[in-house]
Amino acid sequence: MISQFMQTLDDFSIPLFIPSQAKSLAEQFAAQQPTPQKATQVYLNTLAVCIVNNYLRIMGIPTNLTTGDSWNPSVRLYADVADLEVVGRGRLECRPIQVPEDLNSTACSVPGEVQSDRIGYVIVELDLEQELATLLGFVETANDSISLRQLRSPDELLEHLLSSPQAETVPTSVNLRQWLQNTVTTGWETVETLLSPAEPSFAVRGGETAVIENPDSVASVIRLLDPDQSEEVRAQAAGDLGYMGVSNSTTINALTELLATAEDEETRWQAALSLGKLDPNHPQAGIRRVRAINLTSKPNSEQVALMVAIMPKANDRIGVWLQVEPLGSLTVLPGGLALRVLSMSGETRLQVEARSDRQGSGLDRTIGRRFSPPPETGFQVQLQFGSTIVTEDFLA
Amino acid sequence: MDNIHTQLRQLVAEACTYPPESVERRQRLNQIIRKIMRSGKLWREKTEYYNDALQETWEYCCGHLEEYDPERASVITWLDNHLKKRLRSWRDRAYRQLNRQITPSNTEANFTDPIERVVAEFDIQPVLEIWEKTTEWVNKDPDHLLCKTCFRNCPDVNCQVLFLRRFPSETPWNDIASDFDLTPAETKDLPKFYNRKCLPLLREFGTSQGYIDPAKTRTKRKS
Repeated sequence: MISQFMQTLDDFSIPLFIPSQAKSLAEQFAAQQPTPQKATQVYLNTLAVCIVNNYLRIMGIPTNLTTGDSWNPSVRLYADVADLEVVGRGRLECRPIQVPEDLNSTACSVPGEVQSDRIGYVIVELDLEQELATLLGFVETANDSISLRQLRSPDELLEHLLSSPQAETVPTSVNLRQWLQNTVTTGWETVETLLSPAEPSFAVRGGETAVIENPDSVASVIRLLDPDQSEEVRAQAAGDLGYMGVSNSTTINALTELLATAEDEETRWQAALSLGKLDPNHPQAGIRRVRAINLTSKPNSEQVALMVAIMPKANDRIGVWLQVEPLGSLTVLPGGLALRVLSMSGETRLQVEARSDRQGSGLDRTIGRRFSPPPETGFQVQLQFGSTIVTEDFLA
Repeated sequence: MDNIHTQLRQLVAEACTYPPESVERRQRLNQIIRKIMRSGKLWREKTEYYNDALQETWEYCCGHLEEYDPERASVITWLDNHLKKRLRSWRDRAYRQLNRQITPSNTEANFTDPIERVVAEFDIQPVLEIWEKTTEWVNKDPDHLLCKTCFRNCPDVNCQVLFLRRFPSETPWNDIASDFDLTPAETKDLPKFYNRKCLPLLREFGTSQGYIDPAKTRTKRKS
């Protein structure tokens, strides 16, 4: 009987039996649901997750069964979710289809709430009568439904899960708002870690530099924040206050007041970032992180630092400041290095390119852009130098 | 023509030429599992724990391919031997459990396997508690966290409103979007917002209630 059924399976699918442990977990989770429909949904979802987990265990690929939303009794009520965390990679959605009910269907529907933040969608065909679960294949991204004809094989799933080096693949967008809650995405470092701490590297450069008679004296720096000082002096002083690291009510109040009154963009940024240094939990605090980017794929490639800073703005928006700085032996940015901001669909929204002189030497020490995306918008930041293109996804 | 035993022997030998962590070895494992499952030649018996024992057998054997000795047995016999060993230990466990139920005290097993006992005691009560507590939290929104977390700049479309639309009846996303006159682009983003902004709040609530780690639930129920 069973082998007869199996002969009809596609060439690449993987048949596995459904263990009694998976069934009792699925029953337990289903029993927590208020309606028969919801109970069936949770039963099938739990089985699909367990089967994919079992498969990955056989393959020796580490998972975290209990950290997913499919394992969270509260989330399970409010979402049709069947996710499984693959360690170091992200969440894999395990969608069940049932035979004989769905036998003639050629597609698997995907709930809206699981169409984002997944590393892939595995389709598991469940035959409850035969206690048989078959991994039919997977796709990387999904809309409302996945056509079974477009499925890629389990062999390709293994490649997808294993071959790309983890460090280079950020499975989901970097959620910038989480940075404001001091949850910074792995791979993004503080300015001090990446650049030499002595150098106030991202402070305002060029133009007039404020002369501080006694650099240790916080009071003298606070005086430079006065509205009658030039904006360059105020911005520099606001930045210096953060570097001096004196966190008390005097410095916090001075920065908060500056944020409330100053109109100059640079001054406000410096004030927000200094506030973030002195009082990270302050509601107006900004945060800034950097990441080193190789300009070529050669082992000793020259590197630049990509800085991403954010600060809270009105109407639930955040301000984003991107800047590229030379690292290591570089003193200026190589000419032609381009920084772009793209929409998630790939349209260029902002662009700036480092210039060079007639001999080809770089002219710009930094390039950067500031903007304020609407809440929840995704955008991509792209650095291009010759044939090297590095893209990072962000969520505002 | 090669028979299945020769094919499997070759596949195992081939798999072993690749390092354990490689994609190539695992792709051979895919082929081995597929071939064996479809052949119907593996040891089969009608016991409720057969599938569990087979899962353990796959996990062990696929992780220890180097232990297979082609001189001694076919691949299927090698798997069968492991499978029968696993089946025996499942049988023993089931037997022990049965004994415990007959003579509930004074057996050593009572002390050696406390977790199994607690699992067996699982009842419907905490189940209702989870459902009631979660829906109550969503309805009351004590910290105004849910109604303050809004989609774009629409105060009407917030986490609480969306939660109430999605449970207990699962209002389709398109219906919710048209109720709030959302644009097509917003309609597309609404479930994404739900996933990224609303569900994490529930996740946190679930975790704060100690529902997540099954081990924790067990300890709580023991006391």
